[in-house]
Amino acid sequence: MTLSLRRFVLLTVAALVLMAAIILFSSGGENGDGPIADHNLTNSELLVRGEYLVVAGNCASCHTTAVGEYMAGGLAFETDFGTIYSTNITPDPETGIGNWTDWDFLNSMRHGIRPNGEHLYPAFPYPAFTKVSNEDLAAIFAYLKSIPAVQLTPPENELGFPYNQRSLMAFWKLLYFDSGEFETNSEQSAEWNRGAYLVEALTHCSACHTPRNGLGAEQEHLFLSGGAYLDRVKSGEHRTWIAPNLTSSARGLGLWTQENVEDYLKTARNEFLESFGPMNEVIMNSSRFLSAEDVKAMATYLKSIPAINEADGVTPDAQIMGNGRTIYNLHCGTCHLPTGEGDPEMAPKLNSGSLVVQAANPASMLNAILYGPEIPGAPLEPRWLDSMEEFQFLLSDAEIAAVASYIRNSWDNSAGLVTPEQVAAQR
Amino acid sequence: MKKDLRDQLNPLLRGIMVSRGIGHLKFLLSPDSLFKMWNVNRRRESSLSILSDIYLFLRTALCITCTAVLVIACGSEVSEPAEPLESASAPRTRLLTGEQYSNSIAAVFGEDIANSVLPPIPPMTRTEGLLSSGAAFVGVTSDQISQIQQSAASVSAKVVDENHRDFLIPCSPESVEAADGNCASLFLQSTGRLLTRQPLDELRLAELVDIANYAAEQTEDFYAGLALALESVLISPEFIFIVDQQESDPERPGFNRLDNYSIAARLSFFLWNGPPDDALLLAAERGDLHSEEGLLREVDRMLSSARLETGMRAFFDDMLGFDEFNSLAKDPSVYPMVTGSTLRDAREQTLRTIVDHLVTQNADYRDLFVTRKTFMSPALGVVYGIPTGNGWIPYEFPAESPRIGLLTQVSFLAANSHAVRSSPTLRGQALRERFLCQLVPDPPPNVDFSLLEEAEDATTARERLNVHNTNPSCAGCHLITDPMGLALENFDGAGRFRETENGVELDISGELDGVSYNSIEGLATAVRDHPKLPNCLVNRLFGYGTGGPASLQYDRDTINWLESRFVANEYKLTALLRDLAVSKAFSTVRTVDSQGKMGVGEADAVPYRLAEPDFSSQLQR
Repeated sequence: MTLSLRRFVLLTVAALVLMAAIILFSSGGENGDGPIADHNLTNSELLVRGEYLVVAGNCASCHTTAVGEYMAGGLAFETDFGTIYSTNITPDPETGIGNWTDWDFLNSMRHGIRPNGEHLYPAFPYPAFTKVSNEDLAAIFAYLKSIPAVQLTPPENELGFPYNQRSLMAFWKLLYFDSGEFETNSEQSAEWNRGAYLVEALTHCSACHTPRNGLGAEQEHLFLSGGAYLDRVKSGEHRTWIAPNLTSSARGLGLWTQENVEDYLKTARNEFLESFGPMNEVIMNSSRFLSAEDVKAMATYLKSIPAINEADGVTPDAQIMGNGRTIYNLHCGTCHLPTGEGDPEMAPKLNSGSLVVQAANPASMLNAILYGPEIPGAPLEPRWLDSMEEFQFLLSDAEIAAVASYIRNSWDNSAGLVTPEQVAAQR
Repeated sequence: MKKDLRDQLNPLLRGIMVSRGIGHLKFLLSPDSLFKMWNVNRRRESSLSILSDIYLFLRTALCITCTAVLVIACGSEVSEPAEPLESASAPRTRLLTGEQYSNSIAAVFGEDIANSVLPPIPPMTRTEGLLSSGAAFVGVTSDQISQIQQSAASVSAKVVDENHRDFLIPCSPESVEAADGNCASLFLQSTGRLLTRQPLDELRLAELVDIANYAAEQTEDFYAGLALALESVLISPEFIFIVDQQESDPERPGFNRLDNYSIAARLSFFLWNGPPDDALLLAAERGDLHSEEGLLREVDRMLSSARLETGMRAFFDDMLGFDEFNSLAKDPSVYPMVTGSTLRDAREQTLRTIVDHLVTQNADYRDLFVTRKTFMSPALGVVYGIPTGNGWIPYEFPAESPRIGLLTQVSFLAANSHAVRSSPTLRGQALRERFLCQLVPDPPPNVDFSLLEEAEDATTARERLNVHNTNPSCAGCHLITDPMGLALENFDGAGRFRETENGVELDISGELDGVSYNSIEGLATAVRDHPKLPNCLVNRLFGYGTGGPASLQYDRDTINWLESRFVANEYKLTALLRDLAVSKAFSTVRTVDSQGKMGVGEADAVPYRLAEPDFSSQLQR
């Protein structure tokens, strides 16, 4: 190796190290002298607005445990990388956000950065919250500063190496994160833009409904076409759930009218489906409290998303369909009816328009069969005469796979085969 | 020599390694293969004498035999899975059933006394297919306690009356007008042990003797005093209830085992539907029932006892829901040939068929649904159209007869029909629930019967039930009952054969869970071969034997294991009874700790639920 070549290599390595150091140790946050936004609201109006936005963002579902204080954090999130605990966002100065400035709050929401410059993990959905406007951030922060302070330090995250190295998130952000406020689309209506703002920013639907890559980043080209994540099933353990395809695919919202979407977000049910599982928290803690205008705007936007069709599944053979039909008639058809069209008092329809049935990944459907669907409950009036029973002990993996395959490939459905191994994975 | 041996074994071992199957074993043991190997060796050592040939042949045969033994030994390990490690049953406290009460009185005091008293036991609720399983959940009201006391008094009075005292009481008092503690003690000790299914402790015996003495002194009648003491035994919880007494299981930390007397009680009520006999109690006293050998010895003795028939009659009477015969009646204007004795005999016919097939003949359980062998009585002969003599006689329907298996016996056909006509729905439901352990839901409260009423003019049941297919709400349930029941429409509501209904030839084609048929024999065969049939019997026997319904959650693996044993034993009932009786599940009970070990913990608290936010009222305005 000649001297000049050696020098070139050394310089290149040094440059790369320098770049890495800059990336690792640069926070990328913002700072300003004045408030993060100007507004003409009285303090009480600001707090009401802040509370509305906090509810729209469904902050409580993640920052409040079943037995904990409001927004005091500590809720465990099981991920492929380990367990992450939500933080205390009450105004306690030691364990919460009591000592934060509004710029600190903006940096966490917009840039995923703590006041000390550390990077936040995207389990906190700042890739969506980055689009929240400064005005709304100011209102949210004002409201959070007004709630009772709770002194509580959540448990330490339990992440393995290298995921426990927060500084490495700098590279992740470089690859997958673009910060910046929501930009209005001038070619669309004000209602559409309001819906897009709510869906893409505040309500962060994509956090669950967009598939993620191996490093946990949302795949932008598959926006809202259905995602998978770990969450609690009825037994208390964590299993995979799927968030369905919300695009206009025939296996997504294609068959739902705008009214169907609005009904679902406001009441947790429509003619196709009743919410169960983790979506209950979204509706019961958030979307049902939103104004009719905002729900309508969200539905307008969601219905406008072009179809992203999921891959066709494997078609089950005649024997599996025959076995599945027998099991369906015995255990399902008496309520869902042999035609799969459901009964207004007994059970929802399965023959068309069920996002859960039609999803490429059968995880949520299998959770419903194995453990029984956990429906929203009070204060909603019961819809069905009896709740669906669990089948985890009554049917074998092969039997559940057969009946799920039958349902997913009968009538108007064509979601593909379910294997006994997929059932076993959900047990 | 070693090399030769290795040369001979290698191809065998390679073959085994490749095939690992019994099919290969057949090849190994076949005469052809033996001679082929012998010839191979012979060619190798052609210079050897005839003696050497014989030696080589024997050596080759020995190699093959040894290898075959190894394969069989390995094969048997693979094909017979062991009982699941977590196998156990729920601890129960159950009330005696009416029949168990009578059997207990009969076993200790004789049939005549048992028959003279109506068992004072409240009706049970059928639970998971069995009335006996309901005994684990039944409560006893104060009125029922009064009835139990009246029966106890009645039994006690008979035991000490002049007709019975000489052979039921093992001693005579010094004076019939005074107390005799020794004689009272002798009687109460032996009788109390049999009634409470364990020896009375000294304190309890002393209490009873005190009662007998005190009452004898008050009434100046030894026997009146003894009757009162006996009455107190007969109303005691130790007699009325079968209580599973537990102790720590030294072999399975975290589990409790039943004590010897509780195992004895479980065994005897399971296999005999009555209390333990003296020999079983002696085995319990010796602690034999905690040893594998001792338990097996007692179980085998019980299985070979004539009392097994009593036990199995009780089980199948319960499983088949034959208590319905107690209130079953047919409209005499439609079925004048069906009387009370016809229905009694129908019940008896099926029980005789089952006991003969499963206990006497030790035949395949599944063949009960295709057997043509049964027993016939004069009253039944009228319904079957068969001339017969007095009493019960063995009878076999000819091969071309439509009578094949339990489903075509009058008991099943008549019990699952209306008073004036057959019911494909009831028959299909009974088939599902009784034999396949599948639940057919009740009709929903909003069901619309008007369409069915409009179809009353239909000629056949098939036409009448067709309305179900036009209404999806009805079709949901009727799809799982009617196709099976319609295949039995060749039998009317009394169980008589017919080829037409209202002059129209009957179409009996149908389908049972993917198996289509167009004859009664087709349905019978479909039931016989139904994959759920064996599992259902195992499930019901497990519940019957352990005193309460099997738990889907905890007992599933044990039941699947018992089913695999049942299959391996060619569906022989006696083998299944033996497997269950000597299993860990039968004599071990679950504790809260062991349930936790089975991976079933308390579910997390429900997620946080947001209360109505303050801004909501403003939005509504």
